[in-house]
Amino acid sequence: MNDFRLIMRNLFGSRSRFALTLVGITLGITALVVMISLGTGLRTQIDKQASDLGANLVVTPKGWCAYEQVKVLSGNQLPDAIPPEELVKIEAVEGIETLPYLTVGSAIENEPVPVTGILMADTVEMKRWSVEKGDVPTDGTPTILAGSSIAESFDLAPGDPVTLRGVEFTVAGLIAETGTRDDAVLFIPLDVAHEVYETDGRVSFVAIKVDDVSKVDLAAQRISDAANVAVVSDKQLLASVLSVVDSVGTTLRIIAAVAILTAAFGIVNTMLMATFERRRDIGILKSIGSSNARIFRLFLFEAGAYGFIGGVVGLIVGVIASRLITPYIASNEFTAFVGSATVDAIPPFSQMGLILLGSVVVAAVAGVYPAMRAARLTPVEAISYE
Amino acid sequence: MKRILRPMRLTVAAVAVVAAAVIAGCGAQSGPASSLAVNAVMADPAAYSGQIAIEGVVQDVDPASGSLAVIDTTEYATCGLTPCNTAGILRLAVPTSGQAPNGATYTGTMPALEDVVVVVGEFKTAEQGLYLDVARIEKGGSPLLTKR
Repeated sequence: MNDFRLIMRNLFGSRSRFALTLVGITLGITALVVMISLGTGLRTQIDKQASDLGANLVVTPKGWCAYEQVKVLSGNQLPDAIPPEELVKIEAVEGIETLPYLTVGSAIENEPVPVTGILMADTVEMKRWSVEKGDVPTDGTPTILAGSSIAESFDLAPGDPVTLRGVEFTVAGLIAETGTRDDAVLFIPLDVAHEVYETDGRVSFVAIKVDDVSKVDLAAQRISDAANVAVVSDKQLLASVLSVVDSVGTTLRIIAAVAILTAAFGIVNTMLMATFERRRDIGILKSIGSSNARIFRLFLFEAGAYGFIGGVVGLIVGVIASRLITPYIASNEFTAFVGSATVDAIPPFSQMGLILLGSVVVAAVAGVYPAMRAARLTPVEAISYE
Repeated sequence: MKRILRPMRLTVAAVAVVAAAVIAGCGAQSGPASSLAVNAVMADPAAYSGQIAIEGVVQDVDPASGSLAVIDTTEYATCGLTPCNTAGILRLAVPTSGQAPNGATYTGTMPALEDVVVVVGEFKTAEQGLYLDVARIEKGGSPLLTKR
């Protein structure tokens, strides 16, 4: 009997032990795949959101933490905290183009909907939106430019009425899908938003486009000197948000690593039991000329096989689980990006290959000690055991 | 071959059962919330009709007068009891002795500071403006205060 057939026979010889050991590895790999999928999806979305903001700098009220900065990218409701007099000072700075945003909210059919007041024509141009139906609303009119997914959710079309804060608006146009959070927002003219939401001209944040990209730092300094606001570059904003995501991701990966470690100890236990139960087999093999190296190899490869099979099954279950679980995880504010946009929840193939390799290596390492124990048995010792 | 296929089938079945249990468990424990967030509601309270459930954290409570202030749970998690979004404070009058301005009376126990509560009620218009006519306040799924 060749080594491969021997390993397969030993692997599937005890079906319940095989299944239970495999479940342990599968769960560990599944957890790792879900964590990696979520982390990869989040990073991809955040990168996309930041690049689609179309700004080199973002002006926010002083004292905002990373949580508020996440909301700049997510389009969630923010305090209207930048007063109009500060906005005037910012707009007076040379060499920049300013786009103020007022992020508020409302409800349609008792479902909360994000609403953002913007300078219509300027924002459409900066964000390079394409209006697939209807027209771009005119500033000063109670009209709405709706994102594609929110329009689909509520079956909105140009000409439809929508009541916001007791004022009837009309849907003027629908934005073509952007793949960002903008798809889930109702955009209204900023001046109308000020009036309807009674904000006295205050805005939530200001996106700044610098005419000369090489002078971004100079522009940031000028804005900070002119107005009592905080200025962050798009890269700083991204780094700040990603630091939050990364710390969450690190915690999740540690949890997954603990699950895999637990599975590894399960393999150690299984293989030690196998060593104990197969003493006679080991003795017979040695008595017919099998070397210690061969015995070691047989047990090591058997352990590695657990890792391979568990890794493959874990990858499959993990991919399915990540597709099913991420919408639930996305109910969290930090991870809301994932639930609102199309995210490829499958880790890249290279990463999946590494996960599988890691599973085999961890399982093989777990099998080293039992394999050494098996290899060291003498034939007499092994055969004489009852 | 059969000896290999049989345990494989058993393995696939076991993994499927475990995966289904995990998914079902996750769905039961952490599915999308049916309660609304305070900030979402306070952005445009008039946009909500009928009875709604609002989840928040108790920011201020005065058992003597029956006044209660509730803030957004995620805002509380970030900013503590002093919310960043000052417009998002749900103020309620739920006295257990005496009457609320709308004539309602309540029975039960007032929640404590920093309790996570679900306020069930309906927005109505009165002389003083829009207010939330509270039907009950729940904590951990159990009613704390109920309208008489």
